[in-house]
Amino acid sequence: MALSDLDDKTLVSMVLKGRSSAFEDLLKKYHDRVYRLAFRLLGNTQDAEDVIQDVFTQVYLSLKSFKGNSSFYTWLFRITYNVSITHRRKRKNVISLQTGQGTDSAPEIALASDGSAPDLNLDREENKALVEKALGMLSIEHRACLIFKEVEGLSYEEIADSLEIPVGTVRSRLFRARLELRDILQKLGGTETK
Amino acid sequence: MLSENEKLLIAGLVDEQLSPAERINAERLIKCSPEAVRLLELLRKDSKEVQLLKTFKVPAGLSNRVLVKCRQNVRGLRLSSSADSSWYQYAALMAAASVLFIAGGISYLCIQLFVNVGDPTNSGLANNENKEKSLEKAKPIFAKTSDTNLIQDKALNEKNMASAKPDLLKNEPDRSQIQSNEKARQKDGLLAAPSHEIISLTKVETPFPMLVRAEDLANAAESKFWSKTLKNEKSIRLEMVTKEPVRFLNQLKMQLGKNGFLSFSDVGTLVNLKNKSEKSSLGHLVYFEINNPEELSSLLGRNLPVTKEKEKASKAAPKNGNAVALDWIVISAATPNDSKLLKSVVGVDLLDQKNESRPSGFDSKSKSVKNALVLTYSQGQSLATSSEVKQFIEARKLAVPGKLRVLLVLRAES
Repeated sequence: MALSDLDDKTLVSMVLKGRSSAFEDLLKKYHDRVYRLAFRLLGNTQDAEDVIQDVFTQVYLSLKSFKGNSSFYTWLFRITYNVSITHRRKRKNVISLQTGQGTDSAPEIALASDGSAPDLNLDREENKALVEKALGMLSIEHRACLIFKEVEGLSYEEIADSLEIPVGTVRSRLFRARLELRDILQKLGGTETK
Repeated sequence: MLSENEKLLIAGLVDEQLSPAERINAERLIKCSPEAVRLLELLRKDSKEVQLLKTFKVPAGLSNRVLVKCRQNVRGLRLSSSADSSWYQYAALMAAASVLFIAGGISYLCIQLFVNVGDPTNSGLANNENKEKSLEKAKPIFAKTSDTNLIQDKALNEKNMASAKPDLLKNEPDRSQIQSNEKARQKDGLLAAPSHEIISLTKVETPFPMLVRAEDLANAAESKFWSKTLKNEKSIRLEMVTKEPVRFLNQLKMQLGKNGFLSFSDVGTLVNLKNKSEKSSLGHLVYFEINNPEELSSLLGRNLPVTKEKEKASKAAPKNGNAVALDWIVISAATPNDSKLLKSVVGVDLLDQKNESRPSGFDSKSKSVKNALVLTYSQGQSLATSSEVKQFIEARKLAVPGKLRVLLVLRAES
């Protein structure tokens, strides 16, 4: 059986026993999701890459504290969220000192073609870009909730676990995030989303 | 106008996160409220739009960059804290060693008791010495050294496989070496891979002994691996673990032939190899000398079927003459125990370089001679009198000094 076929808890226990290739497997398994999450939260690739490095370093160092009560990826996403928040705060301070501006600008767009017809693809891409931009304009708490739910496919409980908030708060926050997103999309004039 | 709770209910329906009771309420609401229907449609539409963001390009080589960065970060942090934790690691290793020692002792006593009870003619403490001798004969000649045991057990446990312990440990464990190796690994954190992971982290020079999965070895750049691993070694022991050692030995012998080695085997070995008798009491060894470690890659590398390709191997069995897969290779420096072993089996310590005498008429043409000793034998059997073994030893005297001496031990995976 290949290491990559093992479940997360087994891989974690192997890392704790000193088998670092298991850590490599965890990293390979989740790096794209962590990167995607960081990118969505921070809005640019450079910050996302900085964050993912910090996240996995932190994961390795604090793996002992992972008790296995929750799933590994919710724990990982929690770290990603916290590191992203910290990174954003630091970055905001630096940028506001340098230019007097924050980081809440529209994010870079990194979309993958899905092989559809060109015109349909264009519409879809435009729409994606619009949603991406709208998402970037949400508050980071709302953004995180929406991304966790819609992009990462987490349940309310898992989101609650990742963000360390009650399930009820997840519900209301998610709803508000959706309303906020709807408002922004309408303001941005997205045809499909109206 | 929908209330806040009703809106949350509709949102929950979109997310499919409602309890059965809530779901009934939400569906009832949709049936009677057009506003609820409109909200549901909008939320579903937005949800789909956001879900499209799943398609996302991750930069090429990101995972490697992250791994490198992690190693840099972790190394610095680990080195600064290693001094505080070293006593803990030492204590843990000592505890593990003690448990193993006690367990071994208990097993030994149990076996002794069993032998005493089962044989009425030899009961009593007075005959213990005879019992020990008979037990000594009964244990496998190539019983794993305990340092190898530790590492292999660790690896096998990690694979959720039950590791079979040898009945008795033949040699005293070299605990200090294991401890220092373990400490060295842990000190370097991520940079120091555990022994069996040298393949995935080839930049790391891991102290012996190391256990390598054959499938990793087959996928790696073998020659680079061997040259890196054995660059300062003069004599090594390779313990190869397979399910069918005799059949594997056959394959290995053929492999040696393909690589220009002339194999020397006594008659008994040839009979065993021909019959392919997988008796647990049989010991198997191959001894050869090579000019550089890279040669091992062609001998032990991709040309031999490994576990990962076990299925393929078994499918190809009729054509390849029942190819046997190799599971693990334990690489270690040759120890005095290996010297003892060689001395007991072939009568000469082939690993000993100090007392080596070269004949005066040393022939430089013999550089091209590549000989290998391939033996399978019963417990306690000495093959020193075998003419083939004598021939090998004689031929070896003409060999060029400074070669890498390889003692290859085949062991059955229980």
